[in-house]
Amino acid sequence: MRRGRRGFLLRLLGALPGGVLWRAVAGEPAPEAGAEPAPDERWLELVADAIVPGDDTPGAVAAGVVPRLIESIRGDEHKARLYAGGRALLEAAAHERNADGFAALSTDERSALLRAVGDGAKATPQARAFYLQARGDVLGLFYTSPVGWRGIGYQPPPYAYPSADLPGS
Amino acid sequence: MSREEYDAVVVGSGAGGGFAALGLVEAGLRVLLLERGRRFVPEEFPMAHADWERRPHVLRSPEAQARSVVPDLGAELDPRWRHLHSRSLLSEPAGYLTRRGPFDYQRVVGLGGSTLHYDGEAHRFADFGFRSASSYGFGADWPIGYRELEPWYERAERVLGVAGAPGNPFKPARGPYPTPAHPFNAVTQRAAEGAFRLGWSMLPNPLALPTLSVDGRSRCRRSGGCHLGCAFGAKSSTDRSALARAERSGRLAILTGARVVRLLKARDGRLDGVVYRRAGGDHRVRGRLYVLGLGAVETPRLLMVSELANASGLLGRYFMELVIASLTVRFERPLAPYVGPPIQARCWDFSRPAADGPARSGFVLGVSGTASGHHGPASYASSIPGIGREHKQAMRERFGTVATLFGIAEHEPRAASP
Repeated sequence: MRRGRRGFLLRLLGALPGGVLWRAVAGEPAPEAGAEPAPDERWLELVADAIVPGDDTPGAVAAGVVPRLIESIRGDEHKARLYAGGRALLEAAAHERNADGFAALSTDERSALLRAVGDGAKATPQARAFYLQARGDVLGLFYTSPVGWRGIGYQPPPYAYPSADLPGS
Repeated sequence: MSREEYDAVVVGSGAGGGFAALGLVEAGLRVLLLERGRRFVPEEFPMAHADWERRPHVLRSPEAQARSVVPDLGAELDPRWRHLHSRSLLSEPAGYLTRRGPFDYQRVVGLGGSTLHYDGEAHRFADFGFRSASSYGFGADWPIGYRELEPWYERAERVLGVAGAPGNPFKPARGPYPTPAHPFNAVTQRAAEGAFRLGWSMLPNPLALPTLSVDGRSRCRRSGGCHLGCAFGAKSSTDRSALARAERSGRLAILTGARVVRLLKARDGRLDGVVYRRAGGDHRVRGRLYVLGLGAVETPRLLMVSELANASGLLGRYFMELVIASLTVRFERPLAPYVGPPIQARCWDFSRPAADGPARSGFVLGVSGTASGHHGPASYASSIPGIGREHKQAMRERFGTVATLFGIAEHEPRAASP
């Protein structure tokens, strides 16, 4: 089943007219029929970094969000379709802004572009769906990780009783 | 159809059925308890795992989430209170509310029933609550008074290991609770200080979340998230407290996955057996006594479809809901409101019925660090708009700053309800 879903994602990317999407967005040749490369880890790193960038505390990439994101995409055809469509939209938007693709932008520029495409006044339903999916995935994975917790001072349960008020003490 | 006989048959395993089963076995009876759902174990509840915010809420089965069939959008709110609108400082303005929320039937299907997801609140009625109509012109008087119930409250509180502190001036005088009160977390302490400035009280909430071990169970680990199911097996849901104790007697048989489909009626009109469906087959069981503990909706429904116990014509009437109004606020600095039981304190100052008050039934106030849906980091991250550096900085500033202040009033019982 998983193999089939991954194949679906790749077919979706590769079957766009002339493989234009695959070449245009990644600067790579379109995958040949039957080839099964993994979801593009590098591109997902860019998206994850745009959503939770690293600064003086680690961001989503350093927290190990991307491998878990890839795993979730591989198991979910609907999500794979959203990410594939989102990739096309982001790359097209980057080229419209005279950038040499999404990867050529700075982290802050990628954050701004992702939000403009998916959360702006002119966001299409498809772009909105991708934005919400990617935002929910990355924020959810990051802020349920110990790395994400440390950045905001969260200690997971159980919690200790204040020693002065410890019942029975 | 197979047939069995017991001294007593209890249907449902929540607060009513669970404690009825315990009382019956302690009286020496052989009891069968029928529960439609299954047993849960603490390890399967989300907060047993580090990634609890991404895990499914196992107590929310599709069956349990079935909503009312009444297509009620909620009553129109009195326009005089329209200025009390909601605005979210975490995200965007939320606008005015013109209707109250629709009827929300929350229940859990499983051994322990709705005590699996309750927050452990374990209040005794005030003595004035038993003579509300004659003293305050609100509701109806009870045929019994507080003193008749008091020994039963004490008995139940011991089984539950209720944590609390005596000295509530708005309740009858009482002795110590079975376990000491929970200490206030920072946000409850802040609310208590605010209430004190207004001349109000904010008193420890009696909670069936024991602060000391009871019956060999773990004491409360202050994890919060009680509504998700207690991952430490500490909360006194009936499966862990009353039913566990009853099972140890050897006189209680529990059948899970057993859905009661109808009640059988004898020629004289009395209940004469229960038919339950389990593992694809129908079974009949009889008892000398029957207890229906299916809740305020399912118990009358089962009696109605079985055409029993309605000589008065009142079955299914006088249905009462709680009426809740809440206000979610953001403090300027983090107060870790997620630490400890969800509702650690209550203000009882306005709990007496008052014909000229804002709620005729009287009302209680409380504070919760997690009732608004803001609980762990992922929930805050979801509610703060945007992405990127601004979002990350907002998380640093706002995580752990949200709490909900709420008031709870009571419906007046009416023959027309529902």
